[in-house]
Amino acid sequence: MWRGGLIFVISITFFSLAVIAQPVPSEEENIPYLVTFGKNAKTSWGDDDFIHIFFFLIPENYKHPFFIGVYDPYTGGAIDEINGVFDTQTNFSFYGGFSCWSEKDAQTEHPRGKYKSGKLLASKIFGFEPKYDKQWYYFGPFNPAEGEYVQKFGGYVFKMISEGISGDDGNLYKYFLTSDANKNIPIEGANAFAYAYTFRLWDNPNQVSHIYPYIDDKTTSVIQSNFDWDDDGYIRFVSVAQKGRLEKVSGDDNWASSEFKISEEEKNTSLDIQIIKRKDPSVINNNVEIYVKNQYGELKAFYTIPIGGVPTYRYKIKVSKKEQ
Amino acid sequence: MGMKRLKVFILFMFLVILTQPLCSQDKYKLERMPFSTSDHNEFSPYYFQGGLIYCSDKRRSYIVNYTDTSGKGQTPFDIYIVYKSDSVWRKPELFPGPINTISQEGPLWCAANGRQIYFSRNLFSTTRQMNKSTQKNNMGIFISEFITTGWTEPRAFQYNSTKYNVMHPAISEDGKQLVFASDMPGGLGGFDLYICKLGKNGWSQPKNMGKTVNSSKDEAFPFFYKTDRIYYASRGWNSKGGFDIFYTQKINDSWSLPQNMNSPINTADDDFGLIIDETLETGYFSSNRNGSDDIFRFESTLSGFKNCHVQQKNNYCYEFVEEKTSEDDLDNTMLYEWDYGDSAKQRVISGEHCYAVPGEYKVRLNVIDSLTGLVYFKQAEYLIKVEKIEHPYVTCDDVNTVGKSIEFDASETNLKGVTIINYFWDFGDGNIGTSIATTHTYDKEGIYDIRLGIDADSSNNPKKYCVYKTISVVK
Repeated sequence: MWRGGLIFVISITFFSLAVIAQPVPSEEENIPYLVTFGKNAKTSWGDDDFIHIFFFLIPENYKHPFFIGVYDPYTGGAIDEINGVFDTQTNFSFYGGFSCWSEKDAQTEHPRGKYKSGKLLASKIFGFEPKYDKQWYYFGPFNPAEGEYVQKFGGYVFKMISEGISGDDGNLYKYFLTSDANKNIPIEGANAFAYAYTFRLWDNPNQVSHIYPYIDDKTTSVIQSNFDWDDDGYIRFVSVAQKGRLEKVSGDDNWASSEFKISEEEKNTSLDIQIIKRKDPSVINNNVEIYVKNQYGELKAFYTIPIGGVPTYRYKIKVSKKEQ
Repeated sequence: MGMKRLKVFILFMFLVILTQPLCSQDKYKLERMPFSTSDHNEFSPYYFQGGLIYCSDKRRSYIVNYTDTSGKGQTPFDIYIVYKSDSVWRKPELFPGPINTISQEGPLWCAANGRQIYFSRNLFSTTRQMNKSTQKNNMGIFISEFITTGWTEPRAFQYNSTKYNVMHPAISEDGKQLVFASDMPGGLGGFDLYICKLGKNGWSQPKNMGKTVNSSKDEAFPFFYKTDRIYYASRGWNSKGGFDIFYTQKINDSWSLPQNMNSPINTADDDFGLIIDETLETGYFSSNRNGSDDIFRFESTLSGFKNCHVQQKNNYCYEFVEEKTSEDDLDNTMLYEWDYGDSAKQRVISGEHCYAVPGEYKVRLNVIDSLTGLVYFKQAEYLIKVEKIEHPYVTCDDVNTVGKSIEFDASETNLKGVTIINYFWDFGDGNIGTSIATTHTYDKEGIYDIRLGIDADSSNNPKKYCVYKTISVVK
């Protein structure tokens, strides 16, 4: 455990030297928007619980105030997904303090119980407010020390919960962890992670989205579960040891799971889960939820900035004389 | 003779010696093995764990009585083993395990890297079986495996018969061909050689090796050299008398007419049971030229070149794979384009390519994602050095004609870091030659092993190299 934690800290510290941007979803993920549906929506629209939890990590050496930007936080306009009329309200609430991350109910694929653990630092409900159309709304300022200090992460952790409290439309939005109250200035070394990821897929079938669960050294296998994929394409796992393995995909309004063995080489690296759409014009407007557990049933976090970098399979050529 | 004339004479003789072809000489020198005896018969040697296995009796003549056995009250041939220690042959011992019985055993052949033996034995090998049987106690082939506790109880070869003899097994180096001698009906006369091929269901039905191998007289005692040559004994063909030793070569999937090993291997007496080492330079055989069957060692006398190996063809063909990709990986969504570095490209999972000439080539692997259609260039690179094999090289036609001059050329020889001093040719018919390119004419058809020996110098360090190539000469 201690060794694994050390490697983790080293990895984050190492990676922090290179991280200069903090949008959520990140450029590496190539995901257009996160999505949260109003609680009256059908789960077949792609959100099984209408709650999305994201954690933000501020490195302990960062001592300045920070803000959380939410892009297009309201439900309405061109970006969001309408169901009849726009009547959805989404509550964005931001938490810090002890247990905001360490509470087990917060680290879950199905938020129940004490998932709103920690100290509520800010919250705002967004309904149909066109002034926020394609605009950023910034929460803050926040003091980094208000977060829950987690030694193995080497910094302070905060939690953002978006919850569709009414209506049945889909709220599509993005976050940005910024050092400025009015614009997006990245915080070096920061990161964001989630244990279950609900997001919107590109309508363009040539776009491939990625999410990056981190695999520690006690993981020997992972089980991926995905919801409401609508059989619209492929989910492919790529790693430093795996050039691409197709995993089971779900149909409409159901879950599908498959297991993936972890090799020694893959430990302490990130996996690249690629979400690839079929090249079919009819495959549009899809939202999907996904999470990954290890062999103990523990959720593996998806980091928007993959720990250790985007994993790349290294091809090797083997040559032998042909027998004559 | 004045000094000047003497020098001219010596120079003349030296040039005569170097002029090719040179005079014939005995190809082998022989040595009777010290464990051979005058009172008993020793025959059919076989290499085994650094020593020799052979058959021996105590009283009888092998050739007369071997297959004419009722098995009752006769001294049997048994299998012995003898090792060499400090260049001295030690005392022979009976082969261990349940191989030797009161019946005839031997000769023997090792297969499966020494963990399996095939050997000849009477079908009924116990007193009880012999007394009970009303049938002739023919020879059969038996098989035993070596396990942790020793050799297993022998099991009978599937084509043994109480109606005829099946004996003298010999198996090719790759384990896929089995030759044996049999007097089964339908042969060409006496004992013939038969061949079985290994298939999914074991050994195939025996097939007579045909008129180019078998004569109307006896053929027996085969020895499989690698996969395409069989040494064997025959009383027919152009035997000098009794059994002579011949060899047949597989050329284009057909076995050639036999080549007589000639003197001093063959005599007017029985010469049989020859084995030969990988370099074709030394070996052993049996002969009753001194009265009883004895085992002799032979060694090539030509040119002092040792460890001659078969000439390999330059091979510029390679197989290319991605280290962790297999053809049957259904999950593989990546297609490969192999860029072989000589302007040739191939879109396959596992590539194969033959380069036209030696050289250095940079092989690149481009990857095509079959799901997205994206192409990732140069995902891996490999610098391949395509080189000629480093050894002497004989260039000549494989099939030639009796009476016509054949050109032999060593100029394709590839030896690095040495200065070649001399070339020596052994044409396989008793004639030799020198110089980098030479000619020779054969006056008899047959299979000939052409040896090319090279004397070279590497920083005042003399070196010798040798290869051989087999050619056929036809009428």
